[in-house]
Amino acid sequence: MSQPVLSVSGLAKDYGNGQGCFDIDFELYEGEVLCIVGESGSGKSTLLATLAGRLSADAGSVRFRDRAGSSHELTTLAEAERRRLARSEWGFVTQHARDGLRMNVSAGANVSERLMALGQRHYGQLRETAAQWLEKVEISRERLDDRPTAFSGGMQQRLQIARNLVTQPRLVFMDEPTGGLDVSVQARFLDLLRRLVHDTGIAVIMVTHDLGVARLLAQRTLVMQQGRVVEAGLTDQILDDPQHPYSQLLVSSILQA
Amino acid sequence: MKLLIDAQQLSKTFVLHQQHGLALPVLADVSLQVAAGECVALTGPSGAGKSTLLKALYANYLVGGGSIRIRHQGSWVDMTTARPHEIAAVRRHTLGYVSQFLRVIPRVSALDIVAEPLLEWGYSMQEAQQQAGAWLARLNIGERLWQLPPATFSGGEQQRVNIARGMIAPRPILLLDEPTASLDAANRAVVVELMLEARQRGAALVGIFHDEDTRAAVASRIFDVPLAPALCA
Repeated sequence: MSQPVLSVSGLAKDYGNGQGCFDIDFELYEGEVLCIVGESGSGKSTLLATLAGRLSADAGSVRFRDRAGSSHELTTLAEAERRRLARSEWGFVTQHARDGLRMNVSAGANVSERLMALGQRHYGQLRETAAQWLEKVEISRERLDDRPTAFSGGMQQRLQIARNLVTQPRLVFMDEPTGGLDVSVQARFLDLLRRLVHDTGIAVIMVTHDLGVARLLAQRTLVMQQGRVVEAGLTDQILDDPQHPYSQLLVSSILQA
Repeated sequence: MKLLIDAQQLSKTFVLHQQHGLALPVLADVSLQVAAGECVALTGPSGAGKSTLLKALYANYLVGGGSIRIRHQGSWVDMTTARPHEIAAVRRHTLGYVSQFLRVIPRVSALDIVAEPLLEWGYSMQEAQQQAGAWLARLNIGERLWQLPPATFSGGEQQRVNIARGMIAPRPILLLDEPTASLDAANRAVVVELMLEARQRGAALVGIFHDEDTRAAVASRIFDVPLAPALCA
């Protein structure tokens, strides 16, 4: 069996007033999608930001294995090194596309930015790669020079995916990526994500409060309540045979469409 | 006789926290062994735990006690203690589950839904789609439907798409939860043939078959799921 991409043990982020996330343990393998579910304020987004090094951890360890096979301890990583990994090995897709895009430059420039940061300079090649990625996320290449301000919410979210995946990261963090999308746009986004995971073998950690999204995309799920993981396992097991009182409440609250 | 499933002393009690911790014992001390080429039909009254046992074997339900050893790529894996990514690997390569209900994936065509397990086995897209087409044709899903997402298909059509998806990869073990329920006689006969072919290639089958003719045609053995003693009275 291959080595995990990410190994997390005893991770904590303590805001001091009982808020944060505590005692987090899990491993994530290539090609796996892990969903983190739980109500607002349960620490999902805090956990995601701590894993990605956007917040500093107060305890525990996060080990990341890069594509060359070297292992990095993320909680003690120097900032310059963290930025390098964040550009080349990770992606971070935010709930509001405007937080993850640069709104005042073209769609093409948004997609090319990470490639340029990694040293690619050939204008024609950058432009062609960007156009190909727009098509992969179902945006016409004719929109290459338009700014994201001219895009719909669903298009902005797909542009954010392209911007993150263009450097073929090994691990992508997503914070409620379907939160603001209407259902038909959401279906298109989920289909795209399924294909990208299948075709590229990326690992994804996604915060969501939509258990339907978890069922469709994620092999594994963590259920969080008050900063702690109260249940972890295969998504279908957690949805069909939830053990913890809070998981049972969550599952029994799903609206049947 | 080559054992593929070795489940020992399984117990399962559902605890309903929304109902003040009401405990419902369903399985108590159930053991089942299944060898290659066998088809075991689970029987027993409604509520005896047939479906619970089948779902426990798939690790879809967690058992309270006992062990479920599955022979996976030459070694035994205990599904009650295996880590999630190990269970995922066992399901991908060894242990299939066929229910009556298709979980529709928005925007994905019937052909691609059926082809997907073969892609996970490393088949090329062309090969996987070719085989998927053959399975759909055999289950009487007309070619004009192949490129459509099955959300708009009839219940029986969705069920047959699901059977094709569940059986297309030649996994060594198949768990079948009423695969022929609500199919017409012609399609039921096709599914019976497919199950017999799976046995002939050496697969171990465990299933719930309400239809007695289907059970008589495919099962090599009956396993009466014992009623759990009511502990909660």
